[in-house]
Amino acid sequence: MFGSSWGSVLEACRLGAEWAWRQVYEDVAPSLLRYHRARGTADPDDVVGDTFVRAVRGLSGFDGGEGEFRAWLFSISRNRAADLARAASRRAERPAHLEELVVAGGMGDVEDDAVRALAEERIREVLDELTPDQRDVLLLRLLEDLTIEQIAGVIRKSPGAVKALQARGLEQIRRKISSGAVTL
Amino acid sequence: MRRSLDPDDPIGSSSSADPDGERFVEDLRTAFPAQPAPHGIADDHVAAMMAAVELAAEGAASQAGGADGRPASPRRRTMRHRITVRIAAVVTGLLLSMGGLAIAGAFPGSDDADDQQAVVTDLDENVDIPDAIEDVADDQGEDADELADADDQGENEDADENEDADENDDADETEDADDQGEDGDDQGEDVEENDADDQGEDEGDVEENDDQQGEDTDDGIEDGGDSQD
Repeated sequence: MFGSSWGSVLEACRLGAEWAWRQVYEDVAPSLLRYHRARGTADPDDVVGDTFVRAVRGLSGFDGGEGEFRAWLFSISRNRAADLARAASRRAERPAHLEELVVAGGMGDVEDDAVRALAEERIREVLDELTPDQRDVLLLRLLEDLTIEQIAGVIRKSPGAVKALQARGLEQIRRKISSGAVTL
Repeated sequence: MRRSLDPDDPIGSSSSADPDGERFVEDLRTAFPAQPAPHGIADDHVAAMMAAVELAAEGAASQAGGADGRPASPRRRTMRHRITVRIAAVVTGLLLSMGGLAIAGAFPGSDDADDQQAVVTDLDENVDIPDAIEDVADDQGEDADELADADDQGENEDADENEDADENDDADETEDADDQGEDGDDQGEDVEENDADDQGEDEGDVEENDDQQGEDTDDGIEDGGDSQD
C-alpha cells in the first residue's frame, strides 16, 4: 500500500517512470496472482502481465485513488482472464513446457508446499460449489478486501447484486462445511 | 484480521463470527498466499510495460505532430495514397463508361435524326425526282416512320435504324419508274386490300340480308300460296 505517496507514484506512472511502474507492479501483482490462482485461471502469470500492459495503455483514462486503482486493475485482469478462457476454448490444448512446470511447481519448502496443497484442495472443493460470480465476489471480498462498491465495479453489477451474490455464496459454503463434505 | 461467513459481516468486524467461517478464510489465505511473481517473470512484465509506455509516447507524439501540421506519419501517408488511388480509379472508370455510352449513342438526343437528314441531303443532291414521286417517297418515309414507331415496342434502336436505312434504300430505288410504280402499287394494294376486305364483309352482310329478304319473300309467297290454297 502506498498511502500518502500514492499521488506522486501515480503521477510518475503517467510520465512513464519505470521505478513507479515497478513499485505498482510489486505492490499489486501478488494479489492479482493469488486471485487468479484461487479462481482457477489457466495461466495466471500471463494474465497478470497482460493486465499491467493494458493498465499502462489505459492509464490516461483513469482517475481515482489507490483503492480505485487496485479495483481497476482487478477489473482489467478479470476481463483479460475471460478473454483468454474464451480463446483457449477455441484452440486445442498443448503440452506444457518444462520451464512452465518448474514455475508452477513448489516454491521451496516441502512442508509448506504440502500444507498449502492440502488446504488448496479443500478450499477448491468448496469454491467449486459456487457460481463464477459468487466465487469472484467472495474472493475479492474475503481475500483482497475490496469494498462492495469496488467489487460492483469489477464485476459490473450493482452493489445490491454484489451483496446478494455474497450472501448466497456464503450460505452455500456454510452448508457445504456443516454437511461434513469438506473438513476445514 | 478475523473473518466469518456472516453475510452481513463477512470480514468479521463483529463479535458474532463463527469459527468455521474464520477457519475457512484462514485456509483460503493459506492455500492462496500473496506471493510475488518469480524474478524473471516480473522483469519480463516490467519490460513489457515499459515497451507499452514507449509505444504510447510515440502515439501521442504522432498525434501531436498531426495537430501541429507537421508531416504525417508514413502509415498515414500510405492511407492517403491508397484513398487517392481508389478515388482516381473510380472516376476514371466512370469517365470511360460514360464515353463508351456516348460513342454507342445510348444517350437521349443522339438518335438517328442527323443520319436521316444526311440521307435526304444525298437524295436532293443526286436524284432528280419528280414532285409527285417525291411526295410518294416522302409519304413512304413518313409511313415507314410511323410503322417503325408502331413496331417500336421495346426493340432495340439499332434495328429501327436499320429499318430506316432500308426504307431509304427504297427511296434510292425511285430512280426507276417501275420501282416507283411498284411502290405506288404497294400503297394502292394496301389500301385496296383493306377496302376490299371491308367492302367484301359488308357485301356479304348485304347478301345475307338479301337472302333473308328473299327467303322472306319466298315465305311470303308460300304463305300466300298456302293461303290461296
